[in-house]
Amino acid sequence: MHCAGMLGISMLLQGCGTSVQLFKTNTRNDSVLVPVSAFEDGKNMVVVRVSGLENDILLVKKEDHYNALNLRCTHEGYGLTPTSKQIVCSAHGSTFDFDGNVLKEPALKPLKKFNTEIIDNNTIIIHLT
Amino acid sequence: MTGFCFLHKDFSVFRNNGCCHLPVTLRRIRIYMRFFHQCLLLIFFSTGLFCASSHGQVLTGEDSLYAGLVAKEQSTVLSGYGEARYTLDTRRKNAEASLSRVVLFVGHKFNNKISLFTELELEDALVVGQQGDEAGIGKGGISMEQAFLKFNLTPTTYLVAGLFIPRLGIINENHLPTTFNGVDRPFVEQLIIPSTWREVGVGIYGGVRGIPGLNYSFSLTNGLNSGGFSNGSGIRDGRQLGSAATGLGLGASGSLLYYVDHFRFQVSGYIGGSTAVEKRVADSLQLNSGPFGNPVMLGEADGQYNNNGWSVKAIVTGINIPNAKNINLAYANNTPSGIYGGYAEAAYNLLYAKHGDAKTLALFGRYEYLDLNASIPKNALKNDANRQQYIVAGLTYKPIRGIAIKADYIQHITGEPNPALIITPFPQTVPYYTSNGFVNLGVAYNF
Repeated sequence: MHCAGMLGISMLLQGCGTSVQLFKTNTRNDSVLVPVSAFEDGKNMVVVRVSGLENDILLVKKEDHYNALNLRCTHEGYGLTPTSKQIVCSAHGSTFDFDGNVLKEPALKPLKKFNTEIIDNNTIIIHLT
Repeated sequence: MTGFCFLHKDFSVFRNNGCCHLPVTLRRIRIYMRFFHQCLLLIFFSTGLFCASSHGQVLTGEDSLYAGLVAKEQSTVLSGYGEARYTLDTRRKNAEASLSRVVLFVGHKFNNKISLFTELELEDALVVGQQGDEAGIGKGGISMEQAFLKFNLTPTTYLVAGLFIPRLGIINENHLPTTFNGVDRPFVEQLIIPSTWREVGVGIYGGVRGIPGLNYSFSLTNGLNSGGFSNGSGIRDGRQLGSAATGLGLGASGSLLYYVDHFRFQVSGYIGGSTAVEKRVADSLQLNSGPFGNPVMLGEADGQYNNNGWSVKAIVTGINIPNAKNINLAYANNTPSGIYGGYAEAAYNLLYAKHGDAKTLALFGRYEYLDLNASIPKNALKNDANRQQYIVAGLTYKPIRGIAIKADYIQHITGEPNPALIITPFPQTVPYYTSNGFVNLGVAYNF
């Protein structure tokens, strides 16, 4: 009964939110490679978890480029959570848009952005430095 | 190194100009200069050695604790917040001005997995002065508001250990004065959820995989001290705040926090023992002891909405103290068995159309209701003055993020105080107003 209740709540919550795919990878010469196919099925963002990096990177599909945002709050450095409308800090309530701009304090500075480029129309390179 | 060579070259020129033929005074100057030169060399090499041995780097608030990402494993950050206020009591015809709080944040990242977070708080400007201008007039307090180590397990999951603030309600964890409307923190979150409530313990925080926006927390801390409970302030004075907390009591708290679209929903709860004395003493006071002896249970649910310049928030909360009767027998502090309250606030940023979220002139209104003795045990006395309403309206102006200038008016309405609880006889008794108005002005910063 308990489990059924939890399952029901979980399904309800999943219905409300947009699932963000988690893509795990490694660095290569201070760069991260993500296949464009990670954005299949109409997805417009992917969370990239890079082995050895402290934080995830949110890769957001724009019209002609990709934004790569460091998911670390510029207030006190807590990890951030992307939702369908914004990026939020569960610790102190800062919110950011998908360009990394601050929407709500206490964070005062925008998110760190990494340069990206697309090669051969099938791979996105995130430059960490 | 360049600077050093430059200095050295200059001295060579000085020597080559035949200083051995100079008069005595000039020779002395030369000796002093040589000494100065050697001192410079010493400072130079000392600094070099220090720099070489230090792996860390001191940053200002302009930088993030985690700036650099890959290359800089260690970094130290200074940050802080503070607020000052002026309050006019319209019925008593009195006013108070105070530097309410100044908080200094010092954080240090040891490596990508472990960081230190500390907040040192000075309230009301002056604690004590033994000599000089400040002698004997300090009304303030100094405390560590937080001091904990954070251990990252994954990019979204971490442990904390030390003195930290559990996630309960809205303000307890998010209490920076530039982030809420009104000079005062909401009263429900001072008198029922006793913000800022921090204790020593451990906690785990994380996000639920597969459900973006859903976060959880669970923490275990030291318990409360029911000897500190008092009529009219709920459990607030029973917090131990990491100051040599006593007893075997434990406090367990947990929360579920969910962000969806422009909404934020949270439920959180706490259960903790409140016997802060050893078993021998507890037995003599007829109090239960052990980790959850004489438990206090607190629960809350809140929701927030932020979009297009609108900000709406609401919270309901309550406390249950099932053994309040025994606590009253032990301490005669008129502890209630039930407390509840809530508030709702709506605000609109009048500058949103022109400046978006970058500038704020928020017009807000808030209604709060709380009953600090909603239910009482048979050995307690009801006090209707603990049934309170706060009607708050005002403006928050933020010319830039990090700075807030506030003005508000509070109408405070209560029931009649119970005359049986008035121990100071007439005419010394301070008059009590069941309806009173306060005008507040404040400034606040966060960097």
